[in-house]
Amino acid sequence: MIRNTDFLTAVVLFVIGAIFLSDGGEDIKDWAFPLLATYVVLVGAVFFAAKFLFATMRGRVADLIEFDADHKLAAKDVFIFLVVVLIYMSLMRTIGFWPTSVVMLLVLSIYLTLEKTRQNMTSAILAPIITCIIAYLIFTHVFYVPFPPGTIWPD
Amino acid sequence: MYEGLMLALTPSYLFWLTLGVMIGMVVGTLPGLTATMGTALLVPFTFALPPGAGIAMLGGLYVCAMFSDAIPACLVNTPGTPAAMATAFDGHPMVQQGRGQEAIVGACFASAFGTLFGATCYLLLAWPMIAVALKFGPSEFFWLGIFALTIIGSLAGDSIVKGLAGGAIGLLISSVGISHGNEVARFTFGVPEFRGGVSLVAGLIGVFAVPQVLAMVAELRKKEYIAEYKPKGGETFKTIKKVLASPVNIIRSGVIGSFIGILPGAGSPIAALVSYNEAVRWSKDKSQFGKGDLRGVTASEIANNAAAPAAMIPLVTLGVPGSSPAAVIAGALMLRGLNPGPELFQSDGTLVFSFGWSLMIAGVVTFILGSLFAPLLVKIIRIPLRLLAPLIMVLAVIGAYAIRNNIFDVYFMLGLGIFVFLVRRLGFHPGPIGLGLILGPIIEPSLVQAMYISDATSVWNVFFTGTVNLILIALSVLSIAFVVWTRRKDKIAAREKTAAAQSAMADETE
Repeated sequence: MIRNTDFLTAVVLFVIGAIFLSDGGEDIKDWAFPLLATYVVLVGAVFFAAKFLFATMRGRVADLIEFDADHKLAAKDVFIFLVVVLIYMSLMRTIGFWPTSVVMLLVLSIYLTLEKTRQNMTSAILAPIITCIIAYLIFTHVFYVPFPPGTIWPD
Repeated sequence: MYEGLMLALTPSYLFWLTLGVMIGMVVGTLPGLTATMGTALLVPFTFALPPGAGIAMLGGLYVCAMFSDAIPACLVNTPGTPAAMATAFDGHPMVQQGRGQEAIVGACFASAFGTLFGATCYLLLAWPMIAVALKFGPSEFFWLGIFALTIIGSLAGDSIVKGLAGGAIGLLISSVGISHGNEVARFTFGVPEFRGGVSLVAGLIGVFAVPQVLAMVAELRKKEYIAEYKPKGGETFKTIKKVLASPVNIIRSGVIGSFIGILPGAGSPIAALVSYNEAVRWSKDKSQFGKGDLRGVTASEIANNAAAPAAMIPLVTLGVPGSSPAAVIAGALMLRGLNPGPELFQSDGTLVFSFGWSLMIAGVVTFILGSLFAPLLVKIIRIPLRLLAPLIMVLAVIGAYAIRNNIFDVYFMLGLGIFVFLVRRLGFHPGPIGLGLILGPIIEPSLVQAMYISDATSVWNVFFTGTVNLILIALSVLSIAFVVWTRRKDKIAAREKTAAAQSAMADETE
């Protein structure tokens, strides 16, 4: 997808370095370790920035980002997947972990089932329900992991 | 020792041990459930059993969880526990090549061997090994962590600078929270939840599982499954033969795992990483590491399993647990009125030795169960991606949440996962980021403690004197030099190959 990534890499590393440089203190014992790691990130950023500059000066085509139709479809799938996951995470505390998990799994399984044949749809509906029941039994009743029960339900 | 063996072989002991192994299989396989959590949950059940049978059950769980964490690591590139991170480097590519059964059986056999190796050290070499371990202070742990960091050279992929930067990003993320020196809040950016630091397990799930799930979604329209899988007869014996074909790798990994296992605080993850690094360094053909080399899986699994019984050595010799599950087992012993330490050897030597034998038997039981279930487990990769991707996502959420029951860990996992998914497109390997996350909590406290000690003497005296320090510094320097040298050699070889191909093409055109 990305042919020459030096410029983008340098930008990402500079941003990370800047974020971690923005916090600091006086006692070296508290800050020596993260400072050293930040300098490594910044040295990396400088390295890739220099590499990009040299490539540009020599007239090489740098940072050619190519998106064909397949990439667009893949990006769309990933985006929708992430949106559903984010909605799931935001509703988890209100509606409860297990109901939202079942709904999220159902929605995603159905969306990701490209060939919506009867057999595929049956598996897309049954697999999430069965998985959630098994996971609920194992985590809640065997290992006693307390998941968010949801705030909208009566006690 | 003989009485201990007889005790360990009694049917009731074997039954409880096997039950512990079976629970360990579940605990290790599910991301978010750790061996520590499993042993802690099992402690109340051991009260109804004789002390020996109870700790045999806990030991069985611990040993088996150290194997079964390799199952999700290989199949879906999601280490069940941090100790299986190095297993995923080669295990998952093996699965993608349709060699899933080989990966699981290889990990299982390697785990069994590692357990036997570690348990033998426990039974025979506990006292001499602990004498060496006592020489490890903060500066030695610091250098051990630096030595483990040199594994970046093997993981960096095409760009060593990206590997180093990735490792530094992992270290930076691990330093979020209260500092080890004056307890100052660092990099919290006004988010109170960050004051408690980031969860290692949530971080590792974010680094490995979430990008994997997103990659599955991105590839959904091109392929239906993770990989094709056709069960083959006789795969178990063939794999064992392959593992045994590298005897030096096996012994070296066992020695590394056992030694690092006895160092309190170091544990299985460091053992596996150092062992993997050494397997790469000493191998004649390095080209397949990271692309599906069985030796990578075995090096990691032998070491992390050898570290498990070895972590019991400081417990029974000094009363100091070598790992978190060992601390839980110490608690289980203390609740029964048995104080772990030198006096336990004198007052109840049979129990101490029966535990060593039980760990050994647990290794064998793990192998039997693991090889029986391997063909069944590998079928996971035949689950269509359209169903598998959301399922792993839910398991990732469960795993991130279950460790600290904190919803913020889930958000952190997702954020880190998206970040790693994006930087993977820029050529960053997730391995160094995960490595930084694991090693940060080991290196930084050691560095700070050593700095406090150096206030009383000098930095030179603390960090650069002492036999162990000098050995570890020399090993780190040699490791870095070796990485530079091999990369240079590979580059020259690749250049020569390209030149030869170009001249051959030119000849053909003429």
